[in-house]
Amino acid sequence: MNRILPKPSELSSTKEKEVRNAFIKNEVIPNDILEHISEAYLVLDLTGNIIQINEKASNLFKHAIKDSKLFIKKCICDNTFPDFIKLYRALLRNGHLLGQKICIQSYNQPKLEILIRATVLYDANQKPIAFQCLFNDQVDRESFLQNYHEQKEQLVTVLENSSLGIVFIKNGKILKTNTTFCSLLGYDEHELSTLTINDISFPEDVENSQKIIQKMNLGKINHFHFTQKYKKKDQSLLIARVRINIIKDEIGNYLYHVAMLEDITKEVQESSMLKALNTLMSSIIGKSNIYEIAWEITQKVISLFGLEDCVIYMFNHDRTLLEQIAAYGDKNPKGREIINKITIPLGEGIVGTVAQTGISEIVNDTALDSRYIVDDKYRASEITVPIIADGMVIGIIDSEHSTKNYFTNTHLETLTNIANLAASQLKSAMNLQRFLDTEKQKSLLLNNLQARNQELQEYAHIVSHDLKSPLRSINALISWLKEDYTDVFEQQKTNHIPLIENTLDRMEKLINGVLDYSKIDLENNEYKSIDLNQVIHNIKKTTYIPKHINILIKKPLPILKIDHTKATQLFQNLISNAIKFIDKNIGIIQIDYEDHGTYHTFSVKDNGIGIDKKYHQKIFKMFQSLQTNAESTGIGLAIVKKIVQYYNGDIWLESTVGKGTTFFFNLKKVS
Amino acid sequence: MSTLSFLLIEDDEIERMKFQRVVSKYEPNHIIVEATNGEEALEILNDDNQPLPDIILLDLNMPKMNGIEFLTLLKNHDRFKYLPTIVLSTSNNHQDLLECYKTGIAGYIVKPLKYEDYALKIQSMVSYWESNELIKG
Repeated sequence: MNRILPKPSELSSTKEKEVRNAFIKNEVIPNDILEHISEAYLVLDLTGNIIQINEKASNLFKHAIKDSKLFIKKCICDNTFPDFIKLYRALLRNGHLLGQKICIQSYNQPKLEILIRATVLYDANQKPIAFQCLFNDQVDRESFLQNYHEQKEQLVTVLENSSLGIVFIKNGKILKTNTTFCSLLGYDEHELSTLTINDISFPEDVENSQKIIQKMNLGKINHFHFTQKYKKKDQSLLIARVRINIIKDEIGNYLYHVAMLEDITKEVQESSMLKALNTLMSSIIGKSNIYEIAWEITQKVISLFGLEDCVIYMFNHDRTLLEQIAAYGDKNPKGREIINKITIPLGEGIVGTVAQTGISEIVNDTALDSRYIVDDKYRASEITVPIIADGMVIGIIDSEHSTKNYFTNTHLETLTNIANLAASQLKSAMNLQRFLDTEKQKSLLLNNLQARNQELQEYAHIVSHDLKSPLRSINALISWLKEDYTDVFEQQKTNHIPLIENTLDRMEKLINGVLDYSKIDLENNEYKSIDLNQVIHNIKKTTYIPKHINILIKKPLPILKIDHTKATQLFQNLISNAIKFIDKNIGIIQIDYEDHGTYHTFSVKDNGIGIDKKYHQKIFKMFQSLQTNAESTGIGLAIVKKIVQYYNGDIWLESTVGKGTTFFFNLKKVS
Repeated sequence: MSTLSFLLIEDDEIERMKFQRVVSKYEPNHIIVEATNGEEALEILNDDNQPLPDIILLDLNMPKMNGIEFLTLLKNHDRFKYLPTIVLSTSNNHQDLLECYKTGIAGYIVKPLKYEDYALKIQSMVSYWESNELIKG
């Protein structure tokens, strides 16, 4: 270290500080301060004319001053003159000269070593206009040395205790290092002194760092920050934030470089893992194919970790071996292609072992592990993590690295996270597949059901018509019998013929009922606005209503969006049903409704014979009639219920035996 | 009153008997030619030795060629398309009705269950056509 700062003892406290500050700032030292300066002080213009001078300086350079001009050459010892010229140039270049020793010899005086400090004074345009110089003739070698050692010691202390790794490099060669630097790289200082900086760098970084050094050497930059990887003695990785400074002597000669390294390996790895994990997460979300997930992991994410290699194996249960399904690195030169795929039997190698145990492994030195299987090339360390879904190993994530001890617990943690992610994604993919399969089956079933329903309804339709034709034939034949054998029948006085006719009539009603019932789902469903008052009016006109029965509409019924035929069938069947069971001399059928906002509740009330509670469910079933007569087919109420259900409504009744029955049903308002 | 000739296309024997009985009782001079299905009816129509009927009565539900298929063939024929055709059906299905009228029919009669009702309908149908002017030959 050849920079010597002015000795603190040279100037007295505050004044000293002011001088110093002004001096360092390249400002003229004010006159009032000058008086207190114990040193020789003078200000010279660029050609050497004295602008200002103090007494001490006048004494010192007495013989060399002529006409306010300092002929400094007269004072300089001949042999140090070339140095002096260099100093002069350095001063102009740097703007200051801090504590340079020169040798002067005044006329008739002994040689004297003095310490010179100088700064350049500039005009407003930053053009140099003068020098101010301080000379100290009090320098003696002893104090100089003491000073030097003191400072060196300070520096060594700082150097050794720094948490930064510090290295001095000359032309690539390692000159000196501190303890931190040694421990960062795992070498001792002696070992390092035999190495060059390239020995501990990765080949891909050498060119870049040489460029930086070159720039510095050319004086373009004095320092530079960058982040770089280094190889430790054990071949593991060190990622460091580096600040490199170039050190030159006062006259600008290159001395050496100082590099300060901060270990950010963990930091970088952790943040890159987090980033990678996020990237992975978003890239595999929604993927439903194990192969796609595997390729995403290897191609997109592993590269983000700075891993050299990664292979994902899938466990083949049938063959009890592991197959490579995706890769990153040398195994995957392009696209989604793996060259020289290998398979590993369960239990063999590190991969096979982990597949068997389901426990992750880090192998710090594969050379020491007999299980290690060389795939495409030998690599020094390996990490192997199982992909486990539902307690079963379904695959393996495996990564190898060319340096020993490369993989850390952070790698393990992250790869485990990735494996879990892959597993859960796969699981949900499998669930999705299962769901889709079920849906497919369901819709198939539904289609079948619809087809069957359609068939059934058509069947009912056709059968009803086919059944009717023999009925018609029988009816015709009986009529002919009656016509052709009138005499015989009159003699016999039997009423078999009318009984047969009644039976046929009833049979036709049944068939028509079945036909109507089967038609409910079949017909097109146009929701037209239907005025229910009109519907009831029409029913009154077309249905036989005995004279003693009155149908009353309690208040005007609403207009509904409903199929006209269904609305007619609904009310007609309820009214017919009421008519059938009225046993009073004056029958009353009352139709009413209540508006419940989203639906209406309609009621059809009669004063008939009433229905016992135990039959309330039964009456809605097909062919369930409580009375055996030609009028009652047991289909009417089944049709009513089916229509109400068709419109997602409910139907129920309240009844008192002997007094009458009220049927209620809800119909939703259709918007 | 003119004598009418009917071509009755009906697969059910008793239905044919019913028609015969009602018409002959009402007006024995009317001629009834019977066919049990559409193909047979076409043979009769295409037989040059037989005069064309005045009116065709067609059942819809028949084996082999059904009524609507027959009707479609008939209405696409240059000469036969002028023959008034009345459908006799068991079904009052809206779809069937629409299809028939679209293709071209002169009437649609739903066969009632009771023979008396049937006889009444057929009689009124026959009497209606008796008072119509027809393209003869």
